Amino acid sequence: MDCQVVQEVLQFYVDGELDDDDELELEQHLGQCAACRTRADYERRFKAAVRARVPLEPAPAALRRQVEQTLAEQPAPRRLPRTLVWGSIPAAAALAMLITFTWTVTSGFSPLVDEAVSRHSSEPPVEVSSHDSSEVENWFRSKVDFNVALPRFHPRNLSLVGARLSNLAERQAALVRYQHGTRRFSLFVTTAGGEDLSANHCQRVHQRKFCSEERRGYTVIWWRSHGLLYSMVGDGGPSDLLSMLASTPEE
Amino acid sequence: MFSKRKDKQYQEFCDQAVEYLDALYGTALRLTSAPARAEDLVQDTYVRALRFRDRFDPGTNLKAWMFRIMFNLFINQIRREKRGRQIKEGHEQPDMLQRMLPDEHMAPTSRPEEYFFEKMFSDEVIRALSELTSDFKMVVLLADVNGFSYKQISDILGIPVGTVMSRLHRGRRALRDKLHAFALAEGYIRQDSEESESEPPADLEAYRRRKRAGREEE
Repeated sequence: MDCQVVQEVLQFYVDGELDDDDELELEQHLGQCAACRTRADYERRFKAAVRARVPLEPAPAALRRQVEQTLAEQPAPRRLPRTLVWGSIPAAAALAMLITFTWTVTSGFSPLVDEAVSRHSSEPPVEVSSHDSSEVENWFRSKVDFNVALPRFHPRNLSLVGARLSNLAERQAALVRYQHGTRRFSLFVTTAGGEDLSANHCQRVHQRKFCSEERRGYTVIWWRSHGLLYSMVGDGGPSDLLSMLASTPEE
Repeated sequence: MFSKRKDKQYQEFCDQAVEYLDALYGTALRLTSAPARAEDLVQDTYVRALRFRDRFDPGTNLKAWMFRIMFNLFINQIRREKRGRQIKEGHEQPDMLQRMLPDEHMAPTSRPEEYFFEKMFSDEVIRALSELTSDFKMVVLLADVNGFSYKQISDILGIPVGTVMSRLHRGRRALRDKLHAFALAEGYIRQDSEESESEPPADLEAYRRRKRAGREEE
């Protein structure tokens, strides 16, 4: 092996990609050639310098919890939800849900969208009436096993009406009702599970990823914050709804 | 319903998958330079890994498989972003620009000053890395920071091994150029430090072919 060849394959040597024979040959050359030895040393030291100076930071605790929850909550690939029939739902509605679920599962979409739209459009009555976000947060305190932190929307865009307990994707949910003129909106707050936000239309506003999906004339926009999943359902297009949400001051 | 054996398999999969969380997040953070985006990327990676885990061959490397999912997501993201940008800024060809850069800082003289990168701080190297085009950043992160082999990188990024080798060569060169510029600006080295030309990136396969041909002649 001469200097020309050594120069050509030095990168592979440093990366440990040479065959044993070639490596031996190259090292024999390095033993005799100071110039090539310097070059090899340089390449090795550069690689080591990069590695030493670009540490991989550990995952934040919140992300670890989120990932562990995802792993705990999604027991099988492409599996139907464990419970398809809720006691309170009439048989016909349950059948409709079953069809919906089958469709959503086979098409790869989260059942969450359909469920959120169904629950929004059935307009269940609120259990607590209030215009005050803090009051509603307090009301949920003893009722759900997570800390309901509500976004503070600009009252010009969305004014709070009230709230009730609900479910979404087999999880406890805080359902919070908002109003804009005569239009009604439902915000579902649940613990974040294995929802794949990336499969949908997403965009970033104020460092936060908002994803949207339109279904049956409604728009669902969802986002994650502090290990919770927020799903807002309303009529109007995604950009319309997003502009209302985007005026939210950052928590 | 799932049998106990499958539950056990699932548990093993999860236990192993969660071991790569720090490596995935650390790499995602360097890729995106934005903690919130890195967190989303990693979370999406796990969701996808679970959804498609029946496609994972248990005899193969789970870490490389998870990295492949994450890099796929990242590549799709930057493609979408690029499409959006092109409307405003026109087409960009980072590879073309990099090809035109002079081939500096590759083959040093024996002067100790040439090891300027050893005088640099972590944040300077991280900043230089963040300024590389995504194609280069990805291979440097996979090879130099995570220690993946050419073959693994080729699988993770879905590109031929030859492309991995040339991107790695050019990516390191681009990184070295940036660090050299920082080192000059910060006064770690003097302007007049000598640089010599280096050989163009080699091709491992071409070398092996040549070698085989040489043997046959003998």
